[in-house]
Amino acid sequence: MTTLDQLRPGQQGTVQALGGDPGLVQRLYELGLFEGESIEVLALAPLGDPIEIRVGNARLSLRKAEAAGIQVS
Amino acid sequence: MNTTTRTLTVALVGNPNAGKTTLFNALSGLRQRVGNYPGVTVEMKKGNFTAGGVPVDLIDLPGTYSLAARSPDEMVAVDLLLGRRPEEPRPDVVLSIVDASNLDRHLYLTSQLLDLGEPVVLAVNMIDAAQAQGIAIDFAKLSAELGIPVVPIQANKGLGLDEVQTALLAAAENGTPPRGPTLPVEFEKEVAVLQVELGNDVPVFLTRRLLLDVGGYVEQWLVQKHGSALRQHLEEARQRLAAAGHAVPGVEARARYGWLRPIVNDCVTKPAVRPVTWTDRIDSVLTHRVWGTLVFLLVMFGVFTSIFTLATPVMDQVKDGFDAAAKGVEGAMDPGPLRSLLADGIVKGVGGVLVFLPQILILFGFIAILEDCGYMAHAAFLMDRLMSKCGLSGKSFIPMLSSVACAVPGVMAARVIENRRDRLATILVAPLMSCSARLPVYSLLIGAFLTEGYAFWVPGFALFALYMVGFTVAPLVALLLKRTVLKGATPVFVMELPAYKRPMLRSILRRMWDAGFAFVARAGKIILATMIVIWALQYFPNADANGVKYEDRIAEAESSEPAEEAAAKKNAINSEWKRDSMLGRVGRALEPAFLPLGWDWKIGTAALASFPAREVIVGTLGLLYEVDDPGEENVAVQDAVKKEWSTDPIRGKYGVPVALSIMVFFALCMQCASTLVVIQRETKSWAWPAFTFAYMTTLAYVGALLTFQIGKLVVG
Repeated sequence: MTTLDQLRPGQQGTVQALGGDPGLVQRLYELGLFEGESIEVLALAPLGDPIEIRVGNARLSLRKAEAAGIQVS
Repeated sequence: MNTTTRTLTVALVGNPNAGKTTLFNALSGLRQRVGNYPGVTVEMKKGNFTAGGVPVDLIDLPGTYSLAARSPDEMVAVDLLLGRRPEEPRPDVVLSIVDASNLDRHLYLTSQLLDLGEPVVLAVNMIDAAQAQGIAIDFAKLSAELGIPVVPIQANKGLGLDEVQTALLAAAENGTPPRGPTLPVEFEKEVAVLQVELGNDVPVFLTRRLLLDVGGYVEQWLVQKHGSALRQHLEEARQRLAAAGHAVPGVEARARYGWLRPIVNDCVTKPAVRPVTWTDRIDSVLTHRVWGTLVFLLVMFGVFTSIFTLATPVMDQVKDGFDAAAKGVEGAMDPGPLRSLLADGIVKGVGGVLVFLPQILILFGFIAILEDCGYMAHAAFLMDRLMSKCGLSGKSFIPMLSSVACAVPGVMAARVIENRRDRLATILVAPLMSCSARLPVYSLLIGAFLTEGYAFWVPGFALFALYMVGFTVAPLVALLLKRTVLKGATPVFVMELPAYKRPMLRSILRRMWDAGFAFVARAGKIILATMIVIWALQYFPNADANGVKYEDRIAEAESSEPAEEAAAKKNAINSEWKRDSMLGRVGRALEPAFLPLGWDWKIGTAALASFPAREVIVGTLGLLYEVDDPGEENVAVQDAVKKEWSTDPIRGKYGVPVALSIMVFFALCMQCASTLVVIQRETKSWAWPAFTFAYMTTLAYVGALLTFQIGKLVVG
């Protein structure tokens, strides 16, 4: 068990729990990030933040601070 | 059909990148206009078409991921869907558009639309792209399980439009509102209790959102209306739900995905291994540390230089054309206020509006291409870290970069930023970026004071330093604004990166046309009015102390011999006219305020006269320094400035500090009526342009003051 911001590009995982500000959690749900969903980290921006991930068939960009609230395994 | 003459109202709703605008354009063609909804800063379009002889009004709501409104803008869309806006009737049918390749995610919003109590028609878009990925959808089954009509479409090719229209008519006729997923009993009980407290003015849909959306707009609105008792009730209700294992907002997501997942699994077959798409291949290059950065720099350089190089020749032609037209008017009419109003006020004013058009069209062409092909979001992804240092996000990068060419298209480009506070902060600091209208001021003064007798690198360095003033002050002001006036909860920066695809020429041309039209038709009138006011302040009074008209005196002077003497006389009269005009009188009255900057009333008056546009200072200074036809001859104005200042006790000794003080003032000031009007257009409020003018003028004054005073110490 780790958090999404710790994954490196190419690594995959399954969402276990979403944490953080309720508004952020709600937006993550709306974007398809949901407990049990598998995700893959695709890339890290050249300046080190944010990260690009794939959820389902969509690509999302999220800041590391936001990714830190997402538990993955 | 209820009656054959009744107009159907249809609301079009979908996620960003679902192809909503493409479907809207395909259905309504050129019959569309921007709807006017007070309190909304995002634009909503209305179009109309006839389906089977029935007139249909189609409202294009802004792209959204859910009906959980977080801002006034998002709330307007929800209110519109519930029939709570006075401008529009309650929609007869809701048209929900989803991306076939991302069905489960996109259906989340659709499942919320099912709770509105209106018939819903589902359009599944981009079925060709889904097929290419091996995704097969059983549309009949999907329709049966969701309980709503489902139409497969390809909006960009115009396929399935007739079927959509037929489905809309049938849905309006049968009109049975669908049923979405049910939430746990415990949740419904809390909603019922809240509903009693709120009364029947609040529809059940909003009561549910009140409970679900922690800190959302419905909560802000109702707590403000009903007081802290409601806040406490809400907190207790949410705690009870959490204790029962149904914590918000997860309870909604579990209910909706729990309902949707089995349906999608039933109706959609996907290949076991996700095939590698073109988007994957392109993305692996664009996110590469070296290649991706290189492509980014090339794209930005291309956009930026095109705004300059492609627009400049057209802008020069526009300028020359209107100058020639003004000359034509002067030649054809007798001297008098009417001739001057036409030539110097209206013709040059219209030219001053149209001169922005090439830059706006080119920038919006690029923005449309970048957004259409999916690169815009990628650029925001790359630049997010940098922009976050000044409290903004990656989405502010393009507007800020564009503002280096011109703040007018830059401010308009800030539309791509959804977060209201970030958009405002970007708009308010964009005019600080050193735009091309500052260049004439810089080249005049650097040419006059920092070229002769200086090392070869000094002029270039001075220009670079002046650009850096904007590049450093703008982020600092943005940071300050985000910590004070625009303070608020940290917005969510999660952003979808759309699939890369080929841009469509038609949609690019449409975006360019919309941006150009919005500027000329709506902002143009006020800009022109401002220019006419400034013209009048410089024209009147048009007779000297003895009651002799300046125009008569100029006509008399022009007949004297030799030609040089005639020109000198004419220039002297023009200078006297400017001095005694209303604007000149204000400038002379304000001279005490200009003195600490090292300026006399002439420089001050020229700065005042440049309110419509910064570069006007060059011409006005020329007139005050008695240069013939100063509009064109930069060198003549340079010589005149040098000559005039050399005889002056202050500017003779401190020429360089004064020149620097003027340039720093123009680097920071808000002397551009067009930008102010565009800020008003984009923020729908006069308070923000007033604020921008006030803070930038203060900054400019303080900056010029420090520059001159420090420069005086250094020289002295």
